[in-house]
Order: sequence, then structure tokens, then C-alpha cells
Amino acid sequence: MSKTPPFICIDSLDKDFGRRKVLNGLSLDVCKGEFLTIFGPNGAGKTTLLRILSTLSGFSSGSIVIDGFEIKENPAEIREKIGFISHNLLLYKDLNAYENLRFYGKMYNIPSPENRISELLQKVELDHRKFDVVGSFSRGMQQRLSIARALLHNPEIIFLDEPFSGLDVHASGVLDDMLEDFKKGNHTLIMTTHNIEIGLAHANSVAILSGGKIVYSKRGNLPDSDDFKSIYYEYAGDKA
Amino acid sequence: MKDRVTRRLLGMASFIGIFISLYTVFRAPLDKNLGIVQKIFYIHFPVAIVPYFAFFVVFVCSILYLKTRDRKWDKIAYASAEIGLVIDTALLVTGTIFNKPTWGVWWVWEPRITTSLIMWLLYAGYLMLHFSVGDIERRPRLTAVFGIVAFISVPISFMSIRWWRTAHPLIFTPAKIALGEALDMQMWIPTLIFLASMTLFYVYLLGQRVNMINLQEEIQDLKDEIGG
Amino acid sequence: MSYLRHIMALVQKDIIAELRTKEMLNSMLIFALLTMVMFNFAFGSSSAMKAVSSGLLWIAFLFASLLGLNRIFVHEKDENCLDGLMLCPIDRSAIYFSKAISSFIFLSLVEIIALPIFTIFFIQESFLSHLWLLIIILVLSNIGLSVVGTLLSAISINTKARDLMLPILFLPVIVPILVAAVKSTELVLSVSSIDTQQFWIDITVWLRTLAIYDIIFALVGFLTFEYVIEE
Repeated sequence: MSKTPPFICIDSLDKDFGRRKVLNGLSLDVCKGEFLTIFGPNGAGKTTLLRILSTLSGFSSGSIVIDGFEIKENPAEIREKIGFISHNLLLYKDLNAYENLRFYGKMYNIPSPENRISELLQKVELDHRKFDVVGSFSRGMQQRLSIARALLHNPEIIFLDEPFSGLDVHASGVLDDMLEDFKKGNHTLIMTTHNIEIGLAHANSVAILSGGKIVYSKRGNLPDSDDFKSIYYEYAGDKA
Repeated sequence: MKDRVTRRLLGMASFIGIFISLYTVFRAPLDKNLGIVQKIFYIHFPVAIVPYFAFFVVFVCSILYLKTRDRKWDKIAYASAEIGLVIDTALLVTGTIFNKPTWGVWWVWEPRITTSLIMWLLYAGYLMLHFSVGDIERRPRLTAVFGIVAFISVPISFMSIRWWRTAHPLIFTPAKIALGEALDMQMWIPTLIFLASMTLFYVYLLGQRVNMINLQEEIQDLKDEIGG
Repeated sequence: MSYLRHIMALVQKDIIAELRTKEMLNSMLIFALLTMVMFNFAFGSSSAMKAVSSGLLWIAFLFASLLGLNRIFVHEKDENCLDGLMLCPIDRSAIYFSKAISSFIFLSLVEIIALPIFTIFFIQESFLSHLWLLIIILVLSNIGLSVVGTLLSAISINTKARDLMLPILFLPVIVPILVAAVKSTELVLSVSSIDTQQFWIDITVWLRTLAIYDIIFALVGFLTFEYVIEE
């Protein structure tokens, strides 16, 4: 894995928020097929980093290249490749499950959306509620649908921002299964979390983000969660 | 250091300019029809021009901000809107004072005055928007877009109000009273001097205001440093 | 081509969502009717009402449009749907035009119902002979209100005051629409024959003003909308 050229290449990334520096010279390489978990205390800039990578936020200086595309020059090409799962639903509550997915299918120019939609609804175990308004769903069902939404265009890169926060048992089970599928399918994943057990469960590489910088990173042969905890406290300090 | 000297010089120049203007105003001959009241025109005229200029600066700086993302343009735009609004207020007040003796009423819905009033409302909205956006990252972009929209709407408003008024023609048009045959050469000179010193005064205030914003931010930085 | 498909899908989504709840349409319509009734009490006699009826009509439509425009981005802010749209490989201006088209459709729907009621209340005699002229005025004004309103609504949704901010930004900017719409409606309602040359000269001025306004602000919205929604 170490010989392949980096798939996502972040070089000395700065993000100023007003006069506060959220990201401060962050550099990071991610290879194709890698499952990277980024740990860090609240306010370390994890969400900001993922929002920048998924073209939702701009940045002040530095460069990001994803699969050969410079992010500022070819945002549309990058948007086609990425899926974004966060604790925000990104769903319309007045539309039913099918309408939500069909709408996003059109946005992503998916050629035959019907098959893809039923396939995904089956995967997240919602096909029996296909024509019910999303507002009437339980939170857990909404979150499962939200995962289906993010995967509609079969993205090769998936960003997950604290994906397990607030999930019920059923939804986390569905997400766990999917994460294993992605790993087998050679998808590239970046997940952020502050929960060490969850973060280590699937990852094949880890990084710690603190004070707007990557302060620790390791690829392969990951330590177990107790060892990692002491590493985490050493690098992220008492802020955790 | 150099900035400070320039600002001082500008300030002195504009104050001297205004004194000279006042002197020439009272040296100018009395108006045959209006008498002493006509003197207010000398201040009314530059005060009417400068807001347009100030809001034009807002417009240009808004475009420059969106293009360059340099905070400098945002600060100038905001300062200019503030000063423009103050001068526009002066315009509406002097206009009202000027109206009573010339037209016999305090307020006339005449195109130019009405446009100044709408402009006042537009830029009062601009300042309210500035204070209402809490997110300092977003604020310059939102106010810049409104700065562009507001300025573009001014000439269209002026035209539509003028056509609207033509349905009820006025007996006196302000153009005739103020600028037409009533104004001879001796009256033009103080008018232009006043306009020049008023513009100088605007530039001076703009420099001071931008400087003040910078100092405020510096203080905030120092406070953050001590606090954090 | 895919640009137009995106706009259509976005508009379709707005319409399906609105028809399911009808929150916005119902409140806009009732508000327009309420305004007319309130005006009746405020101005009293029917002879006075007739002289100011076109102004009344446009004030009612204007405030109804404000109500609708305030809501046009609310669904996108719930559950961060705007982020969902920004993640899609679509042009940002497609979002702008789709929202402007949706507001245009909602406003027009309200007017289609409110206009006959207005006629029965205040005009009494039929104006059906010049109805097509009135439709042109309505369409041109609605375009202007929608293109400006969508942009300003996207701005005001980001402020602390939210729905208090929109009227303050919106009303002074649409003064030309109000002037032109009221004046041209007055012309259409007051003339007995539209075949005179003077009528055409007069009405052309106003229709042209509306058209120019629409084009300019659609362009401004197209160019600046991206700056409003980006982060």
C-alpha cells in the first residue's frame, strides 16, 4: 500500500475563521483503498477539514488534490466522486423516502435511478416505508435513509463526520455492515470521531488532529485501543 | 505614521476648504426672488452629490471585495455607507428646510428628494444587515452583495419616480430654481468650492473611519490574547 | 441540458413539498385577502376605494410575496439540506433560478385566486376585455419580485433577525416594481378603450421599466448568488 501514489493529497492547508486559525498548515496523504480515522478533541478542526475536502467550505491557503483534480479548479468532478455522511440528515421532511432519493438521483445525473434506489432502500432496510413522508420516520430510520442518500451515486470516496453520534442500535448495525463492504470494495474512506473504540474498529490507518495540525499518524499495524488511548493523551494533551 | 500625516493634512484641508466656502457663500450676491433663503442651496447641492459618490464607493468596493476577498475593501465599503448615510440625512434635513420657503410646503414627493429618501432607507438596511450577521466570515460577503443590489436599484428608482411624477407636473421644477437662469457665475463659484471641500471632507472621514475599524480589531486581538 | 434538468428537478421538489403541506400558499392567500378587507375598513367608502384600488391590489400582492419569500429557503436550512445541494455536482446558479421559479409559481398561484376576488370586491364591472394586459403586468412584476426576493431571502436567512430582515432589504429595492405595476394597472383599469395611441405610449413606459428591471436583477442574482450561499 505504501508504494501507491497518494489518492488524496493535502498540502499545508490553512483555514482562517475571522482572525482565528482553525487549520494551521495541515498536510496529509491518503492512499486509494485506505480507511483513515481522524481523532481529535472537539474544536480541533475535524469537521472543518471534512467540509473543505467535500468542497462545502473554502480555505485560505494551501492545496488539495483529489484523484488528480485540484479542488478549487474542478469542484464538480470531485463532487461526483464523494459521498458525505454526517449527523445532519440532508433530507427533505415533506417528501417521502422515494422522492428524496429520486430528487438527489437527478442532481447526481444517475442514469437508471429506479434500480439503484430500490437496491439501497433494501440495504438500509427501508423498502417497506418507501412511500412514507420522511417527517413521519423515527430518527433512526431517517439516519438510515440519510446514509442511502449519501451513497446514491456510488461514490468511490466517502467522508464520515461523527457518523455514529446519535445513531440507534439498528442504524449503527447497518452502518457497521456498510463500512465493512466499503473496505472490501476498495473505497477510500475518511472518518472523524472522538470515540476511540469506534474509530479503531474499521480503520487501517489513523491520525490525530489537534490545534489545526496532524500531530500523529500511523498506517497499518494499528495499536489496540488501550495503547492508542495513551498515545492519544500524549499528543492531543488534556483537551480530550 | 505616513497614514496619520496624510489623514491630518486631509482634515485640515477640508476644514479650511469649508471655511473658504462659507466666506464665498456670503460674498455671493443675494438671489432676486428667494433672498437670503437661497444661501442654503450652496450647502444643499454638495450634500446632495456626496451621498451618491459615497454609495458608489460602496458599490465598487463591494465588487472588489467579492473579487479579491481582501478585507480592506469590506472595511472601506462599510465606512463609506455609514458616512453616506449621515450626509444623506443632512441632505433630507436641508432639503426640507429649503422646500418650505421655495415651494411653500415642507415635503414634496419630487423625484430627486424621493430618491434620496429611498437611498436613505436602502443604506439604513445595509447597516442593519451589517449588524445582523453574527458570523464574521459571512458578513462581508452578504453585505457586499446587498451593496451591489442597492446601488443598481437607485437609478431605476429615480427613473420610475420621475415618470410617475410627470403625470402631475410641478409648477416649479427644482432644476429651474436651483441651477437654471437663477444661478449666475458668481453663484457657481462658491457652489463648486463647497462641492470640492465637501468631497475632501468625505475622504477625510472615510480615512478616519477605516482607521478606527482597524484599531477596534487590534484591540479585540489584544483582548483575545490576554483572555486566551 | 443537464443544467435545465437540474433546475426542473429542484422546482419539482419545491412544488411537491409545498403541495403536501400548503403552508406557504394558504398563508399567502389568506394574507392577501386580509389585506384587502383591512384596506376596506381603513379607507371606507367605495368611491374612495376605486381610486386607490390598483395600489391596494399591489400592496396586497407585495406583502403576500414577502410572506412567501421569507419561507423559500426555510426547508433548505432545516436538516442542512442546502449542504446536501452544495455537495451535488450542479451549478450554484441552478439553485438560484430554481428558487426564483418556485417563488414565481407560488406568487402567481396566489394571484390567480386573489385577483377575481379583488375584482368582485372593488371593481364591480368586468375588466375581462383587457385581462391579457393585466396578465402581462402580473407576469413581469412577479418575475422582478421573485428574482430580487430570492437573492435577498438567501441573504436574510443568514442573519440573526431572519424574517425581520427581508422586508427592510426587499421593500426599498422593489420601489420601481411597485411604481410601474401600480401605474400600469391603474391605466388598464381606468381606460374605456385601449385603442388610443396615448394609452399605448403610457403603458409601454411601464412595461419596459418592468422588463428592464427583471433582466438587470436576474443577471445580478445569477452573478452574486454563489457568494451568498458559499461558506
